[in-house]
Amino acid sequence: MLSASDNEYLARTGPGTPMGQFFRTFALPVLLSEELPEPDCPPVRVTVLGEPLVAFRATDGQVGLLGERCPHRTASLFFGRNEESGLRCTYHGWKFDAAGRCVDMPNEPATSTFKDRVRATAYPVEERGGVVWAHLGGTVGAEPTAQVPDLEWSLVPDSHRYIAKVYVDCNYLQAMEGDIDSSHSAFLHSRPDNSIDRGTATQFRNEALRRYSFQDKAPRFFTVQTDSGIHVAARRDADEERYYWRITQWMLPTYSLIPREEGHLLQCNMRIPADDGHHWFFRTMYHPSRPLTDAEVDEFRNGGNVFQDVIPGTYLPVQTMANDFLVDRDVQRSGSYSGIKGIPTQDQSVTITMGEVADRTQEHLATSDAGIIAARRRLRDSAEAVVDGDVLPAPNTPDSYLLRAPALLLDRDIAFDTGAAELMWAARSERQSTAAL
Amino acid sequence: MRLAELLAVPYIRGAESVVDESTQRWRRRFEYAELPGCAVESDSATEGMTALERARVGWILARVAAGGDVPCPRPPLTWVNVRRELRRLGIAISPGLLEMSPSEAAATSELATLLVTLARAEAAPAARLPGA
Repeated sequence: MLSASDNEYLARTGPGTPMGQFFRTFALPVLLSEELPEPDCPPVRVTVLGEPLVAFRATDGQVGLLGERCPHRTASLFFGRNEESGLRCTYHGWKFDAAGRCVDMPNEPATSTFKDRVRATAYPVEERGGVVWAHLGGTVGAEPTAQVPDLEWSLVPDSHRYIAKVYVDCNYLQAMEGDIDSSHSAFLHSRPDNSIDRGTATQFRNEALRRYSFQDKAPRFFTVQTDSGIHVAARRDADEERYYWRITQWMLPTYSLIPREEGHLLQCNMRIPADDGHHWFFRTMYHPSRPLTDAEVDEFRNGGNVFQDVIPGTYLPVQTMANDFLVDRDVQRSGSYSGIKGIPTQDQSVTITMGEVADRTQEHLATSDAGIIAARRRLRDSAEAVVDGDVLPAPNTPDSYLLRAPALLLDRDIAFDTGAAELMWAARSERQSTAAL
Repeated sequence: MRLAELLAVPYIRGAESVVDESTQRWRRRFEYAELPGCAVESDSATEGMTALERARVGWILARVAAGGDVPCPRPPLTWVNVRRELRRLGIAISPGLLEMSPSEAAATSELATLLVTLARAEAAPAARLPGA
């Protein structure tokens, strides 16, 4: 368990907090590109790390990310007019470009230079992989001090990837901890016949080795620190000669690659704090070497099993605490361990119900929580380093993120990071896969 | 390799629940199997992991003092602030000692004294550290 002060330290990410400072050293996913579909389209409001922001796509197609409050009299720029390479506040017509410069101040004399002394808060952004990445610790036009990580899903063609986001009603940390915890799948995401509760999904998670997760429900955990995060490996008995390994990749600040058998679709979860009681959950499914099929995309878009059903026109989930996540007790008795449709919603039925910020002073952690404990410590260490003025290498070593999370069988005398080495690094294993085609 | 780099080598940390045969009580066991004999048992998962880190430091320092090789299955992690980590574990090592090679460090009285201090601390109840 954590002390109250340590819990606060890790959970709070607003302006001026140590964890907030830590997050701001990274380029973070803040929007889906689809939210700004075309130049001069309506701006979008987004809150990240407790800071209200507004994003817009300028006339030249570039994205600008500004503080929501107009620097004049703090009106919201969300209601601004996106026109001719800038966002114009509707109150007095002050207009700002993507760098935050005030480029027009029509209620002042034309020759006034006052506008040159006024700037809106503006953050550098970059688009990659269908996502708008922002460096909330950076300055537009200055030398970048963070790079977009080379997460494999962001490097494949658009046709190889499906990505979505949803607004989750709890602190980022308790949800991120669920991504690392490999032992809950055999319970929360299971069916009475000891299979994964895929609901109506047919294109996903039909992995041959998954049965071992149900044969041995008490895995032993191993962790190793890496440059970008931690390998969290769960080991289960398979047969007398082999172990079944599921190796989660947890990467700073909050990214998790969920273990998958070779050849199957791969998955990445990302948890970005909106404020202390909510976070943005970005999830992507992708294949490194082929486009997704129409059936796969349809299942992701409409199935509600792998990606949540959302209220049309929003990123808000249909199933919430207010409607008890639409739990069906009859199904719980007969068809699914949780009685709740959809894997992400099953996760939220436990993480959101911990409270807006989980009270970790009440925990009783087990050995199966070794990965969670290690991640908390890494986050804490990293935040303290930032506060002390140390430079974290992770935000500027994008290639340390080019990992995969394999699920595989290994002979019992082989260490997991040795036996799975070729499968854990995307670049090397992709070259092998390509050579085999 | 400097002593600080040795202390920044990442090892595979294992965790399991085991039963204490004498008391029939289940405990949490943590070990670095790549450092033979470096293992701890605790009633608490978090305190056990902290104790294992102290044990790792002690193991490495003892091996250095004895003139033996310290296994390095992976390169040292460049981002680790060894001094901060040692401070958190309550282990006081001078910056000068950390900058020495193992053979240089083995020749110092500081290392011998430090090992005695660590051995005494091991015999005492583990203190709860912030963030543990």
